Amino acid sequence: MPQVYLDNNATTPIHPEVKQAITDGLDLFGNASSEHFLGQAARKAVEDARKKVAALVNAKPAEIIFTSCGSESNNLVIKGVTCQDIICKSEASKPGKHIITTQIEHPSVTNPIKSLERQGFKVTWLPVDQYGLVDPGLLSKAISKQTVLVSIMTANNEIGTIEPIAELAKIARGHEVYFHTDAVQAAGKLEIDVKETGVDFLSLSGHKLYAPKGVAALYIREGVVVCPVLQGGHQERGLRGGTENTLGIVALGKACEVAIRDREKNIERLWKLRERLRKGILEKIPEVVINGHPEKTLPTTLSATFKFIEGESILLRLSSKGIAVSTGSACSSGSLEPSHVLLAIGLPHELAHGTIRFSLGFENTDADIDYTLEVLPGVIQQLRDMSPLWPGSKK
Amino acid sequence: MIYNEKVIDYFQNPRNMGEMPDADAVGEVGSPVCGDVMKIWLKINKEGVITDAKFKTFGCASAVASSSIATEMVIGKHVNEARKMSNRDVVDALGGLPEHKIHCSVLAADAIHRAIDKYLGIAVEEDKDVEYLCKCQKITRERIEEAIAHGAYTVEMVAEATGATKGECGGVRCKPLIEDILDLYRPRKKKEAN
Repeated sequence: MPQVYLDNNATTPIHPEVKQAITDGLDLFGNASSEHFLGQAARKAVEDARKKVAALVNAKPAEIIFTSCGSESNNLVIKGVTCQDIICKSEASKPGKHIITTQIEHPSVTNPIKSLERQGFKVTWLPVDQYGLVDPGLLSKAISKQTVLVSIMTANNEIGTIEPIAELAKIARGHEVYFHTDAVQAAGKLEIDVKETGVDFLSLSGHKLYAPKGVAALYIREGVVVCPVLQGGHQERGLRGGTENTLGIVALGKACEVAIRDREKNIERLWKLRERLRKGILEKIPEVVINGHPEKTLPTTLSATFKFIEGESILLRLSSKGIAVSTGSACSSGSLEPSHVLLAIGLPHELAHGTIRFSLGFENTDADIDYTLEVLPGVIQQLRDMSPLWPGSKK
Repeated sequence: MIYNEKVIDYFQNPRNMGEMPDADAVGEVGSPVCGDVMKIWLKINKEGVITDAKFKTFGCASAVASSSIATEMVIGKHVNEARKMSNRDVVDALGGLPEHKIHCSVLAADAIHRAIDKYLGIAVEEDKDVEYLCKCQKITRERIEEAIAHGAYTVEMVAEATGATKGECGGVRCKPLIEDILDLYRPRKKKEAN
């Protein structure tokens, strides 16, 4: 049975060249903080990787901090900017206690902000339109002298919609408010230029761009002061204590190098595959809704709602045929509430329950799409035949 | 995998799936908004014995498996016997369900009860006087059970869904009562393990 992996937004396989870089780096066991030759070999590997990560987003190497995951990068920004420690020189010293974010962020942004909300911060949760786009006009209205941070994702993980980050960051800059963007789902897939967009912080993660899990990065614009969350040694300019994850960092550096080299080619190829999948689904299956923006979207993400049936059933039936996808809802992960993103774009509950996310990666081929389009219509029909809601069954 | 092999088997190869045009009793429960709808058809002979059962389900794997196995369990039973079937019997027959999927078994048992009650002519709305389980917030037992059927499996989740326990008394009166109701729906094995 073929195996087709269409869950690359959850995590990506490790790129063969990244695997090689890890293998080559296995003997770099020295502590990058040690002054002897073994430590310095590790230091050099870490700093080389930093240059490559910086190049991916057009930053200076000194503006990149390595962390353990995208969630840590997001937490570092949100908690670091709002830190209340009296010795801090961060934005916390500003009297403002207002944060602006959106209704479609990842939980690693939403939950730290909710925690601050409980601690007395005022939070504006910007809505999105039917495509998942944030209206810059609403940001302009919400932002004030009290605002200390705006956090808006570059591209949405569930529906792929790409936000107008440059325009949004410009508004924040006009008010001298820090702007953070969670680019975990976009980095390596889209061209990202922090100088052009003018963001102050940008999060990215290794395992979404063909590096392993356990390594990520945060861009912090030169001159911006934040407090560390993981306090400890002087590593990463004192912003992230803990001995550097040399192997992970080397892998992330390699993955960024490959991403820069292959980006154009991949974007073009993945767009074609996504379009084939989208058109194929719409041709072969009735009563389907495609979610997200028709153009302003990641080439890797396709969110589709199959009416009258439930997402987890689709996922498990596809899985038994060797196709790995994800539900748009959090149902299978323990919560029975449908996805906050799908509800935010105005999808009714019953449709949100029937949503599947197909997410593509560099390994996907035309044959993968052929096989998916061969299997999917049958799976959908079987489940609809089983559904008391399917009108086709009421003769 | 969050499900055991038996649940997956009943999901992948559902028994008794389909409609029954000449059914003697039909029960439908759930709502598309909550992500589960179950419809169960029963054929009942003159002696009151269920001779055939069919189902259709909109929902997740455990909802399909619960309704499928529930139809198997009632075939051959007298309606009085089948009416005693609880959600725990469904969970046990499936060899267990994840805690956050217990509500699927509740719906399956409810669908059977609904069909039989209608067949026997028992009024579905049998609550005579409205008695509030959470007196401060004026919340009925029925509302609590509905929240459980829609996925709440802890007192906190019931509180979140209904507003119970959040009144003046802070849940002093109703928390133990809600615990008792939750206990009724929890799988037996789990309780013994505690």
